Amino acid sequence: MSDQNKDSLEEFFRKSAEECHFEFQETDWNEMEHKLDGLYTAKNPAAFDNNTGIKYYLTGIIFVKIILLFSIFFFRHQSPSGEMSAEKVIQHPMNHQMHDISANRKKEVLPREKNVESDHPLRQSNAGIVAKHPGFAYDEESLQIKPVNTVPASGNLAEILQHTIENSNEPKIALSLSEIFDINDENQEEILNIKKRQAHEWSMGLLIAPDFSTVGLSTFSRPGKRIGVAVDYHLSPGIVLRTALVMVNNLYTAGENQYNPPVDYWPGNNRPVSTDAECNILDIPISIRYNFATISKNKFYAGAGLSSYIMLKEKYQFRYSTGNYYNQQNPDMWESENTSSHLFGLIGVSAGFEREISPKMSLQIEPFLNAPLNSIGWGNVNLYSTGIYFSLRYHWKGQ
Amino acid sequence: MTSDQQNTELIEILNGCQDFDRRSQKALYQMFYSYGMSICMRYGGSRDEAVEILNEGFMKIFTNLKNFEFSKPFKPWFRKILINCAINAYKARRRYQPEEDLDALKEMKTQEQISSGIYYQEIIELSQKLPPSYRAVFNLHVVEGYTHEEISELLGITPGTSKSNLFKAKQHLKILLKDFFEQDYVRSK
Repeated sequence: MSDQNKDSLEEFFRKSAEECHFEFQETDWNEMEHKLDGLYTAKNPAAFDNNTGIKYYLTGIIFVKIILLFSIFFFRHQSPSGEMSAEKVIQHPMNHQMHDISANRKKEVLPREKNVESDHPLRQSNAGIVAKHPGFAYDEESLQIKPVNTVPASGNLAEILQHTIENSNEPKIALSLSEIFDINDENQEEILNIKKRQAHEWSMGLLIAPDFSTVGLSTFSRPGKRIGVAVDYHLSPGIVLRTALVMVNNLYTAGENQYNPPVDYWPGNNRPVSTDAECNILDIPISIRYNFATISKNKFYAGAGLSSYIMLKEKYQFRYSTGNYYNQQNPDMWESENTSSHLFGLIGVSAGFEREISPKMSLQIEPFLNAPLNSIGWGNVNLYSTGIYFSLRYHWKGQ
Repeated sequence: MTSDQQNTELIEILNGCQDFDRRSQKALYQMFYSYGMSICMRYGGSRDEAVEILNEGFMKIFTNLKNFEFSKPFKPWFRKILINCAINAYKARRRYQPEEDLDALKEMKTQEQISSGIYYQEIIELSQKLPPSYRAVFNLHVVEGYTHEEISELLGITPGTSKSNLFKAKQHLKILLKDFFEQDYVRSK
């Protein structure tokens, strides 16, 4: 091969390597996701370093404990346990096969193909020449490759390649990509600054949950409800700081020794055998959540935090044992508004599942348990609440 | 979008990938898909093989991102990983395939029709018709700029074999190109 041939051939292939553009194929990403799913289901422990392994191990233990706690809590008190079962991990449906490779290839042909019939100069100016290669053509009479117009007449491969390179109208997509993403040493400092001020993710969501409350882990009454809004600040892709405003309609029944109003409230210390409570509470939780597994569009997380209760309304109905004379003098009920608040009076734990339904929206299902650190309300009860939050969330980026 | 914004976005995505965030992983995959495929298509014998090499490369990226220094450019690191994956794939394939020669090339020519019009992608498809050992040397030397000594270390062959394979690769490509234009001419008639 002559030097000219050699240079042209190398340049021809080098240029094609640099400027070829491939349209993104979702099926290829599906293959990639399948590999990643295999990685994250811990079948490939080598993929994790020691610290990551410990983190996953610990959060796994916490998650199992929370689920166990929920199970014990509900089975023991014959609550609607079916609702509180651990969330089942649903593997992302994968399409493992590449479909219709020829169709993919077709898509990957550069956009220029669309215009090849209309805009190619050879088609317009050389009726007798039928080859479709830019810059040169076959002559029907001589059956030789001949360059058109300004290209020297020759069937030499080197000249053909050189002419093809020089006259190529191919879009330089790959080149512009490299210009965009090349980061050289000169702007290292700038990169570090950018890293510092990078945007963090926020999300906001509507919450709704049934509320099952009990005092002293004895009995449950009919369920109340929780409705609220929550705001999440993503400290990192794995750690989320959350606060919320939740209106709680709280219903519970307290036994004789579980309800403790101010001393001497009942004359003769004749206490009711049970108290039915209906309270409206503003719950303001602050919690940290940790995503311990991401499988496809699904995230699994656990969280813990503190809750503050503001008692907006408290209403208690007392029931006494029949046949006791003194009970007729005791009050049947007690009711008041804005009675008290309990700053960080409860500890909350939760574990949940989040499913991305669009790039900016997700759905969450999150079982929770709130346990008292102090006695709550006018009756000074040890109020436990549990339920499952259902939440629709909107995600956005902010500084 | 300015270069600064692109850099910010890339760094944010890389941060997300470090935490195994799936959305960030997809964003990085999409961002470098075309660039990665343009490399892998040259080394793989088919599109499927190219995607296999690409995904293996991304897997290495996702699991080893903690070793990446953010102060350094990402793209050359990505490219190096892909080429290493391509070399590994070539070595694995070589175990099961005998040495190729021109007869093999003749057989390959009939396997697939080349569509009309020569575009960059078709040029890459032409190079895919080369026997793997010629293709690997050709790409490493001509496109990546490795010397024959470096290639001999990478592929576990002698420098003489590397030179010989390069020469044969070019001969094959010459034949393939001429054949391509002739076939295209005949079809056009």
